[in-house]
Amino acid sequence: MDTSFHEVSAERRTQDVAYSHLSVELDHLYMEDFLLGKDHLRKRIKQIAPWYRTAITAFTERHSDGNRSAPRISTCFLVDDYFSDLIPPSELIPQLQEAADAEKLRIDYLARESACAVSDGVELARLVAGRLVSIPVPGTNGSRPPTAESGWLSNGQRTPGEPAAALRPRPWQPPVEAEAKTHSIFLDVELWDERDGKRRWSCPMLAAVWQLLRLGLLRDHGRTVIQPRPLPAELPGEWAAMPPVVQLNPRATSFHGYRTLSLLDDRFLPIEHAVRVILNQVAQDGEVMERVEQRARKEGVPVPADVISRIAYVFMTDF
Amino acid sequence: MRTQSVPGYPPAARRQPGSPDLGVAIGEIRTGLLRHSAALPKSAVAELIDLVPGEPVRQSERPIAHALSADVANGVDCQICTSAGGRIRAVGTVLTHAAVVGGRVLQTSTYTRIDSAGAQRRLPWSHYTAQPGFIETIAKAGPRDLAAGYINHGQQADCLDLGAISERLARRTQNSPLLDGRQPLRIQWTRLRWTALYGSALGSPPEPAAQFVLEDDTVRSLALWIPQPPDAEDDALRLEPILELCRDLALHDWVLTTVTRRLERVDPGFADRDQAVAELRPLIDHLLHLWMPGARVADGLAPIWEAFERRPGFTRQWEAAVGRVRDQLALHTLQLLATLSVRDASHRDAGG
Repeated sequence: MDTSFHEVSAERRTQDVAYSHLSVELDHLYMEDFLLGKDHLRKRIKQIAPWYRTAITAFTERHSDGNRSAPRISTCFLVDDYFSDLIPPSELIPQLQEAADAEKLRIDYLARESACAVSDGVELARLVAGRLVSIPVPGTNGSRPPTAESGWLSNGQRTPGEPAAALRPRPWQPPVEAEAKTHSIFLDVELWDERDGKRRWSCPMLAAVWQLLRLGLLRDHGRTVIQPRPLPAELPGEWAAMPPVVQLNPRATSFHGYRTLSLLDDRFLPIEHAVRVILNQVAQDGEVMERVEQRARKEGVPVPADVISRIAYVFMTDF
Repeated sequence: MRTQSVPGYPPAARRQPGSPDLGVAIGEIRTGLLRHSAALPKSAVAELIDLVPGEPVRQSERPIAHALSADVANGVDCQICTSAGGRIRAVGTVLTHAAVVGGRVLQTSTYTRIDSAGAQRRLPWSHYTAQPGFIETIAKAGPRDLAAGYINHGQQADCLDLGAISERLARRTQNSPLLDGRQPLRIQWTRLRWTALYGSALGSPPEPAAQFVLEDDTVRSLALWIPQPPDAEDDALRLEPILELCRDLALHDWVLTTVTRRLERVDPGFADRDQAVAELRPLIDHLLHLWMPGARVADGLAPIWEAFERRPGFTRQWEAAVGRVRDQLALHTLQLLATLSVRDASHRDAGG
């Protein structure tokens, strides 16, 4: 006799998502930047356009073997509505689209930064924070709990604390970067602060979530956390009323990419350094990682085994 | 202890490119009673061991209530032992989870696989976080050598300490406000250190094999050999059945140890039978129903349980122990009845 017995609550299913070969982020602007007017916005888009074309050419050359069709590339833009929401979607989105059209740049997806904190009721930032595994310095054998400062994450070992009432102060000991080549570049990143009992995530933390979202590596109870939706026929007056990610171009390839490229102003250099310190220490979902790897390999575009190596940047200076 | 051969087993093992065909995993499990006066309901159990946001606590009802948390990763960079007593450096992440059985028993288990191909240097941390649950040796080493080193040398200072991580999770869980702190039985925790060699290698026995050792009152060790075909279709690592087997053995060893210790205290010749019953009653209320050897163990690994059932015969000893608990109760009942009938008779005599 052949019988079978299952309990759904005892299983965990992992949902797959589709991937483009590359997800390109076209600049990032603070809300205040939009206040500088249409001309400023146009100038910014104009500045990134040649870098975008160069990057796409380089990527296509690198990842084509002559016969294969052009790589699937989707573009996205992240609106900073988390720290301020000065300009409503009904004003900002047409402005942005107009500027992009003028420079023949196509924005496929538009995402809200606050969705990196909470998207459709799922606290994405908390999900990522819950997977952080501190980088160990040599000698870490598990016998002591990892030294965690609530809300902070460093890339090594902090300067040891001094007891408040120390009679003979110890000489200063430097912090240590765990992966220092010869000398340390120690970085301590604030992940969040609390205001009136409410947690406010930091910009690097949200940007780390943003990278993981684009790489299609986040799941909530095995389910995908981002489903791009079409642009509402009537644009709302509040960002909170917008879907987390909207698809502006109906013919766009998938929002998620095997790799990401971000074209950013150089003022974001320290932010992205912090983002990499965070991403370096996120324990990935082993099953999701394996599926992405298999899928990419089958398509003939193998992805690097680690997440940091899937992320590329162009930092632009007004020169 | 050898076991008979098992058709259909084993599940596939994922192997890192360049690493030998033989995988090795090590772990340490703590088993004890939850600090709570009654069996914890399903929803409270789910909350108690909700360790990773966005990851489910996996719960099942048959044949016994069982809950398993998601894994939490910890980073390590330290020495591990080789069988000759030498040490080599290993870097990576180890995983820890908690299980609650029957709403009563808490198990915290820390484990890792060892890739001993020898990376020659510590790699960027994102390499290790990409595949949690692996540590990689800096110098090349033999899987058998590392398995033997872990199990034979116990906990060495400065070496990888999986037990401490399990211990911390156990303490943290026991301090949860979800528990009322009133434990019906004061009993010791047990520690199981285990190692598993799995895969295929020339000269390895074709059947699974296991060795279970009672090291002292509370420490046990288990060494497993699990043959797996070299060209497994499913590339994904399926360590889960091995972890399940280890937890199941740890659980039953703990229940058996607890019941036999308690019996030793009341038997033989416990003058005050009321007190004897008072000692044994919590066993009946809280532990006896937990005995379900191998119930959750994968078919392919069941022969290991079966072999342990032949020798030393866990269930044989268990049934003997349960028999003695019931005998004590029966004697107590008889004594009560006798007292009653004497009282009854004297009452009748007085009244008649």
